[in-house]
Amino acid sequence: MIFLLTWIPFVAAFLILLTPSEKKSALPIIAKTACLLTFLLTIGFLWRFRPDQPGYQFLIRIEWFPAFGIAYQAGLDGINMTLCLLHALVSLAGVFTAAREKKRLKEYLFFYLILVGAIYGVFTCLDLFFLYLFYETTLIPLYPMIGIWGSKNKEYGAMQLTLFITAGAALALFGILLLYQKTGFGTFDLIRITEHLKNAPFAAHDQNFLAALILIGFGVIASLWPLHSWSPIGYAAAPTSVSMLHAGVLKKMGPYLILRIALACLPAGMAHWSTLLAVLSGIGILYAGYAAISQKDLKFMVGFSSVSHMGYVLLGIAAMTVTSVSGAVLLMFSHGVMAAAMFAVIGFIYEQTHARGVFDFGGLGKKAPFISMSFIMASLASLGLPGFSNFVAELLIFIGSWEKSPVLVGLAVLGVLITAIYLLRAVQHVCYGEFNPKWNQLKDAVTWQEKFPFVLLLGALLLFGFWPQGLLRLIQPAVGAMLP
Amino acid sequence: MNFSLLLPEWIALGTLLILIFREILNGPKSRNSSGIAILLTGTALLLLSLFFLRNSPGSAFGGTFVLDSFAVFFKIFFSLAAFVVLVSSRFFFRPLGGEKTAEFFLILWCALLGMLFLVSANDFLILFIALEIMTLSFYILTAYQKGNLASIEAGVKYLILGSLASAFIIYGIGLLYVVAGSTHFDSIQAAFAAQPGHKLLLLSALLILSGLCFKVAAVPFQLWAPDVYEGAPVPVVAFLSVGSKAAGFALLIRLIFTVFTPFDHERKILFPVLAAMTIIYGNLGAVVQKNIKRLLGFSSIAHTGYLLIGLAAARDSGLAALLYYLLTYALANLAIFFVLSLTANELKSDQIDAFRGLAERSPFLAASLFIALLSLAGVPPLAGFVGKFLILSAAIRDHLMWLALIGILAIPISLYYYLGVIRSMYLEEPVHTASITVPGSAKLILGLLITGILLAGFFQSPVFRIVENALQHF
Amino acid sequence: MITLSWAILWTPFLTAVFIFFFLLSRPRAAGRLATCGMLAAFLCALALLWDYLSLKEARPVLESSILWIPFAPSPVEFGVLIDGLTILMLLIVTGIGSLIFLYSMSYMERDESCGRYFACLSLFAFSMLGIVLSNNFIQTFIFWELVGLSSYLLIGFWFEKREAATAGKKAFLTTRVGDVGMMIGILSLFGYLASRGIGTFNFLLIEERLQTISIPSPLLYAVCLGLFLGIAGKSAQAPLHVWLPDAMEGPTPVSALIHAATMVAAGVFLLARLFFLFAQSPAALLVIAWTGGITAVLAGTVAVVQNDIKKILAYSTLSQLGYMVLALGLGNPYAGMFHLTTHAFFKALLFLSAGSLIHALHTQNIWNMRTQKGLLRSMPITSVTFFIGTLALMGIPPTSGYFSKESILAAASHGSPVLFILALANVFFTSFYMGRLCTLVFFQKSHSARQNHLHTARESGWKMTIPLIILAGFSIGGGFLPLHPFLGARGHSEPHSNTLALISIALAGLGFLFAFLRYQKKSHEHETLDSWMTPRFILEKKYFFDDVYDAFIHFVQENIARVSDLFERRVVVEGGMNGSARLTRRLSRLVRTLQTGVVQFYALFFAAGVTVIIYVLILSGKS
Repeated sequence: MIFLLTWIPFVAAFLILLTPSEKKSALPIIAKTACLLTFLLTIGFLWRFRPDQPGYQFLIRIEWFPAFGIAYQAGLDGINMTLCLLHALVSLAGVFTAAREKKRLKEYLFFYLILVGAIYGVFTCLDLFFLYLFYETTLIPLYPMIGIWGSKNKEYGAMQLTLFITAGAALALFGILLLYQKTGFGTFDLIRITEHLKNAPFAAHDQNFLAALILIGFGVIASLWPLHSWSPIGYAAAPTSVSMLHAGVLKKMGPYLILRIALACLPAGMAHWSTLLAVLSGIGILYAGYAAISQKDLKFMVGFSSVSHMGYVLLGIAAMTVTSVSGAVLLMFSHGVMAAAMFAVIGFIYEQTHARGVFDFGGLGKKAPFISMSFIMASLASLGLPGFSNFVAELLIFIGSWEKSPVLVGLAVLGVLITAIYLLRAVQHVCYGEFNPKWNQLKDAVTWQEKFPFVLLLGALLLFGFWPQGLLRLIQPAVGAMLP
Repeated sequence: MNFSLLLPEWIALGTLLILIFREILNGPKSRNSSGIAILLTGTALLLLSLFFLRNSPGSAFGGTFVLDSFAVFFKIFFSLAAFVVLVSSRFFFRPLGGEKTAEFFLILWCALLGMLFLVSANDFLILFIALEIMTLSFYILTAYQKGNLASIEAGVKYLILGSLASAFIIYGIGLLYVVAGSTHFDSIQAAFAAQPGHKLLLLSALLILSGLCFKVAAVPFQLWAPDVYEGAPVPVVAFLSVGSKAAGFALLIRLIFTVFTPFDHERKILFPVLAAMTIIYGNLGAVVQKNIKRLLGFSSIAHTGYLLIGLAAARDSGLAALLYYLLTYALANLAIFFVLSLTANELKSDQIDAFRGLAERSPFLAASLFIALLSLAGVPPLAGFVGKFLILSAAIRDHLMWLALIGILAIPISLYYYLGVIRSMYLEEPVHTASITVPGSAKLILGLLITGILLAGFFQSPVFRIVENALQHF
Repeated sequence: MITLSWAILWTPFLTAVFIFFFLLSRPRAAGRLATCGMLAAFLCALALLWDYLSLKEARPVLESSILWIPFAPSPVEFGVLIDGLTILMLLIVTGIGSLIFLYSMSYMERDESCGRYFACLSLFAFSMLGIVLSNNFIQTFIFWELVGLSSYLLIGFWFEKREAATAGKKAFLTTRVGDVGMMIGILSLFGYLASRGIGTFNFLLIEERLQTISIPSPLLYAVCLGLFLGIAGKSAQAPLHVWLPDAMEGPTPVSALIHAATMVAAGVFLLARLFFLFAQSPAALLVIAWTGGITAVLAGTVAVVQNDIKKILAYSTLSQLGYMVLALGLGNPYAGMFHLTTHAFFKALLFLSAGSLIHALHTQNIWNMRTQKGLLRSMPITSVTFFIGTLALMGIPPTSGYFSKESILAAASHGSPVLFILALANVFFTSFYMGRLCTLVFFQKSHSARQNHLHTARESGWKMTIPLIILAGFSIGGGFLPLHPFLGARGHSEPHSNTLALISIALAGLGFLFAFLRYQKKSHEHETLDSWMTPRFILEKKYFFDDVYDAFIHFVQENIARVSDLFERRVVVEGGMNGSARLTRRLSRLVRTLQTGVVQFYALFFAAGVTVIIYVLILSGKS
């Protein structure tokens, strides 16, 4: 049943390819039904998910390439259940924005659905080969989507993004192959590898080397500090729904894979690098925060802010305690939803005004109350205001990683203040103040189709802000089982 | 000496003779379509015969001609490649009109004949003769477009360097004959066994191997490739990059793992270095290329490097990975050159900028070029990725970590120049917006190639089984 | 009892959500709903008081909580803690809250986005009650930030005005600076307790544990300072007080409720609630006392030169808060809380009457508030209530202000002499600036033509005057309220010393008289009247706090941001990404030099390759 999650978008994508070009109106309908179906399916899985049952649920396994021990094996535990939910939310919200694209809609929706299906693949697969296969498949649609439908210097952004992530992925492939080689019994089955390594771990130096490879490889997409510079450029160049999907979900694949491969299989290696990782993420938080303050373009600002937030996630993972890693997973979820909402707002305004400078607007509060209210709520969630799940996640990360690195947590708390500075400045210049007459033809989000993405995303943030136990009861046992 | 073993060769020779007679009878005004029909039936018969012979190994002519599953695999490989190249050359030459295409098909068929013999040769003489038939026909093919100066220049270059390589090979064979007293593989093996440390044997082996490395364009011997790929007509480049390279590797495998087995230690030293240097040279060379054929020349050198990793690694995993990689490389290259032959006359130039806006002019061609290029780049879920995956895991299993790392680091660089072509196709606006019509039969074959890439990428185990039983009793 | 407290907490929240979803476009209905909600909360508070008093044991403490995040080592709960202190604060918040809700129904009548106003006000009430009822650190921190949010929304209510938006942002960010300190304080306390095996955030549990184990003094000092930073942020103490005067951009009822009576008092309440922790670190208490004293005098002096009626009241709030913090710093939470209660009444009264004056005269500047026939006749209730408020503020005997200020002065007399002198000096300053305010506004008749439209000032409607009268009643009678059952557990009231009372009354009277004489003259130019004060420039510049902070933001933060952006653009992007691209390009050009196109070179390269291979494998004896 679980493979449907991956295959519905792929089938829909080919359906879109086959629809003749004169039936243009059918395209958005197919795309939206596909995303809605996967969303309902994920909710179904969430409903039937029993958190107290250890191990993976809804497990299926199809022998695929026996000579190398490769099998299409998919299953859900607390962590990837949360991330599937995140992806379901963001892709559903994103498809509404994607459907409004004017230029070459057919190809755009085709690439969009391939991207959605590949991400589901990454989050459900439990076989190293397929995990890597889907991870790299997301690159195919990204390049043309950013390259063709992007905005300012889109070729540069598309090339940087694709090359950087491929370089990282290549390093990670080297790590995976070494891992496959070192385990000795020739299988890519993640479950068996993890169990085997739990009771017969590698030698220390092997673990360190492998963990380093995985960390750098997947650190690129997780925008670990020195490797982060592709993400603001990529997001600023990407069209709205791509930056929603990329900042919202693709960026979370990095830490997820680090958790799944490095933390679960190479605990000693991770422990070895944890201080360095913590320091790098600390620098990342402050560095990206300050860089965001000096940005004049909204998308660049949100790009840097998501780099800074990923710093919190990596800080949580570096501390390797149950509380901090659960906080990291919850922050992955909440930051994903928040970033998607933020980009949706900026995209909505950009579609009508083709301007996205922080100081270009003014007084949108009067002209477009719904949009400015969602923009304010998204920024409040981003700066960690209680009532949104971001606060709970950051709180858990702080509590969890306090005794490991109090100084860094202190810096991270300072980072929260810096986030408040640039976000409130943006809110003030965009929503408050006198109305800039240049944009008086700007229309607010009126139809339910335009309002639905924001209600969906911000509603999810509020729901899990008031009731974090809804997600934590899934995440915590899974993290507990994973950590030594 | 049973004739049935040589059935495919007889069929090939038969079609050749019919072609020649048709040529003599009709003279210059012979219509192309009949030539094509003969060739297509010839290939069909050839494939049928190979299909029957696939599990009845045996040897003929006193053991100098052997037909094992390895040979059958490559013969099918060559005939399929030849079939695709024939069809693409038909589309390539039709708008030109001026050139006489009949001779082109004839010489191409000779090359195929040479390849068929080459793979079943179990004696150095047979090997050399078949090799020469193939390379000589390629000399003519590269210089086929008499009007085009570049084609002639490429032909001359390939002729001079090719003959130099053949000289090295024949010199090596001569030395072997001096030591072993016979050119038959088995007796040479006996000679190796008799005096294992004999310096002369190693020298002759190296000479022969270097000649063959020229064929596959490995590093010290690869300088010819970009110039010849740029000058020669598109179908010839296709056959050169797929057929001739595969033949070279078939010979390398057969010689290294049957005749030159005692030199395993030297192999472990030589081939990893060669592989690494070839990968680096091929990828770096391609980064600044502006001409698509030159770029594909460098990229084919890079892929030779990856194939050489297969040779450098241990026998069981390395060879299977090599053959799988060769399959995926062939599929992608044939698809690319097929598209190039279709668009060559429309775009009039080989510069990458000429492909600007191809996505709008003909979405089908652009999409197939997109998939084929990404498969070459090794991006999953396409076939290229599985090939690279198997090759790299073979290298790692044989503890050649540094070689695997070089292969890994070359992936993003290769993606850069492949994306360069995709960028001009998809991201830039076309210069003149006339849409390119693609004939039905071309769409069919191109579709087959693309589905081949997708299938080999996703359903790996059936394809791997084909490769494995090719190496069964080898 | 427990369900009552849950009801009190959630009623304003439900009204806020209901208004947000349904009544945004119907302001009148929203106003009525919000006020009824607040009144209901007030009645529940009274019922709670009744049940609480009927309990038999001396000072009962009830607590109930639900597990919000049940993590093994550190369960985070969401609960309610009821004791004397909580009930007192509940009464203040809901009581004054409902009065102000009633008042703002007519004050904000003409404003069309009044629905949003009442939604934010109810949200504020919810968060304030959350702080008051909370039984653990995390819940306090959560509602601490929600209060910050509602004050941000309410200060920036008229967001078209650029100053209001900037003031809102300034308030939020300054309190956020405090919250950073508070979070670090909470984390270090929790970190230490967890390392000793008792990872909990619950106040009562921590209080119990502190009897058994002792926290090392430097850590305790850091924790207390961290927490005090958070309190200083919220209660606008010395370093972080800059936001309160700017917060006057918001509507006046907001200033009354949030920036006078309740929100700013939250810090003092938290000090009282956590007094068991602070008491263990005398060094921290000293710092707190000194901050309180300095803030009091600093605000008192600056208030003297202000010309906007709301700014004067804002600075007077700052100085009264300084008094409360001083009392708590000197180890006497009873005096602090007593003054907090009375201050809530008369400061709310002052703000509301000022509001009705502004409502009628449409100006906030005290110099042109003078009307033709004087305000005493045209707005009798407002003026009389304003007077009562002033008397209470100055601490004249019958009013409640006198008793509470008296207890603080008594507590200060035991403390260090300098602090005592500062406290007394502030009594003089308070009475002086209030005297200056009253003489200018009430006792001077303006006879110049340009204020002619002011002569039409009429008394405000019943919805505004009734709260004034009630508050005036409390301002007078507040001193006699029996606070022992509420604050008994937290220290005792000082013995009443006559000499001290005489000194403070004398100082207050002197200050008022001096201001009255000075500003009684009829001359118009206010520079001449204010010219006698020599150090005017320093006071007007508000001791340069704002300039220092702006300079800090401009030079330090902007530059760091610019440096990091430059670093990003130059080093990481140029050097890193493009650099690696250039490197590969340069290497590939190197490789291209081999492709000379000359056949002879290729042949030479071919032969050289073979010789190298042969040499390496054969001649160097490798085989």
